[in-house]
Amino acid sequence: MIDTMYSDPMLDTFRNMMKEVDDKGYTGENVDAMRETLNLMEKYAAEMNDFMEFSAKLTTENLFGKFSDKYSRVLAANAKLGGYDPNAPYDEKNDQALLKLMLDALKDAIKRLRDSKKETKALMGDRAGDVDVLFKEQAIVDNIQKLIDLGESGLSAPEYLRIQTEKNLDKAMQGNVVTRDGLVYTHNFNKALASSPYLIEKSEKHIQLFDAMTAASPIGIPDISKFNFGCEKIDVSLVTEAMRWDKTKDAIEQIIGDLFTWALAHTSIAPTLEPWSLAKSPARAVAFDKDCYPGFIQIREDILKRNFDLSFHEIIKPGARMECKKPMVLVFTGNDGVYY
Amino acid sequence: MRNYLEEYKAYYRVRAKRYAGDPDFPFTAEAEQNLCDAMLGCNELIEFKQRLGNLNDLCGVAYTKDTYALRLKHYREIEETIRALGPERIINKAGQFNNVFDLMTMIGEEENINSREISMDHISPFDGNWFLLERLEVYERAEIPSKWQPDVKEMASEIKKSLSESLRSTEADMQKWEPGWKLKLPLAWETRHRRKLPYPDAELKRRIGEFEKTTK
Repeated sequence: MIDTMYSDPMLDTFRNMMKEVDDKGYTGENVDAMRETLNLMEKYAAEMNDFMEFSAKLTTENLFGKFSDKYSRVLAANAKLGGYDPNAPYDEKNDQALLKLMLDALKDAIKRLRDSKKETKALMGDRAGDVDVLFKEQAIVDNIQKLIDLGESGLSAPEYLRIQTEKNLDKAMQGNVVTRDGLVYTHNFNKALASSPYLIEKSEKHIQLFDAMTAASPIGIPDISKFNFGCEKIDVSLVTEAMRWDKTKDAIEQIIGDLFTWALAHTSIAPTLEPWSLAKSPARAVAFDKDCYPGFIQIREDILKRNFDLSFHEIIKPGARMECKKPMVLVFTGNDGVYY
Repeated sequence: MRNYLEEYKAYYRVRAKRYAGDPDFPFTAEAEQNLCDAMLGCNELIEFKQRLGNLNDLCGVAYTKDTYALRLKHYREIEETIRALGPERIINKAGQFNNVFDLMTMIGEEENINSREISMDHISPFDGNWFLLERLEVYERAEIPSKWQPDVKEMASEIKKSLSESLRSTEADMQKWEPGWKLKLPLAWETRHRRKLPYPDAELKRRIGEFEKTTK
């Protein structure tokens, strides 16, 4: 049996969806199919012992997908139409009932956005303030509210739909404002972290692309799919250089680290320091490093040269500057330490 | 007294205009125009129910074909050949569907299959252990006093065992998802993998050879 500590987080969502459907009294072949799929998931959880096999089984048999598909069909088949009667003559009463259906869905969307944020804050505990920084839902809510206000301004349903489409108000509530805020947050994070100039360049180019697509769009809103494709193209164009920068830095740090270890092994207190102090015979471990590290470092230098056409000795000459395509300047100043 | 028929005609004209002439949405433009024409051909609103048929669903099918065509084009441009398989199959199958629910079921199934294909398309026992191959070279080539050679030989042997075990356990795990999965080293030369290995071709060839020799 799969430990419930692992299976419950996977299955609880589907159990809750099944309960919701049962509590509402829905029936039919799609409900039966939901139950059959959930029972199969439960059976696997009870009979299997390896979590990875269990997870693979659920995925390869597409059980999550099948359950969700049937759930969508159940909801659609039981959608409450309020006062709207598709079989009645289309008069003012029916028209306004249809309009109310659309506006109620938007009001529900705002409620769900706010509830979702509240639940997340409750889960985050004393880090709840982070949610206010990371999830600025007001811009989305404002755009949804504009649509609601339009709908409540005395229009008919087709007038509302026409104006919404003409002014692209439906696209405005897709959250593009929040997208840009997210891009800026990521860029500022990358600058503050300063772990790689390529991360910074990537996030900067993402923002530039977003702004360019916004300016070029007749409605001032970039197509989010095309924007994501554009970001992937940027990422792919930078990936090799970014990896080269990372691996070069790793290789140089490796050699410097080995040099440091070798130098430290020559101190009188070396046997009392980790890692030597953890060895069965600390004195032997120190002697090994003193004798072998020079040979190890020579091969590391050869690998650095073959991989990146760099000579470690040239890099570390006093006052030397080694520049990659991006500024990774390594200046070794002896007792002052090493600066990047 | 409102003229709902004319108001709906105005709405469907605007809706068709959104995609008209958009080179990225040719199928959607055609489907939306068909829907619009059905509305414009009504003399009374009640006629639309019959004229509508499944034209709305066909708009959904058309939009699917267009959006997945954009995605396919994108993945082909950046040579993500495995990621392109899902959109390609979805486009080929979409025309068989005339209702949105069945279409969404098919898309869900194909995306699930493609997600597995993408997960299986890796060479992690090799590229994830590149650092071990370098360390192995250090231990095997370094000039060291002869008294330490047994120790270094043992350290090299541990790395070889580690590489073999990593390969074995990865293949065992992957076979739970795809029976018969084996590491395919030639994938390293495919663009989508090669661009993440920032080493000269000679080095890649060398490390592949070492990995094969060590893990055979």
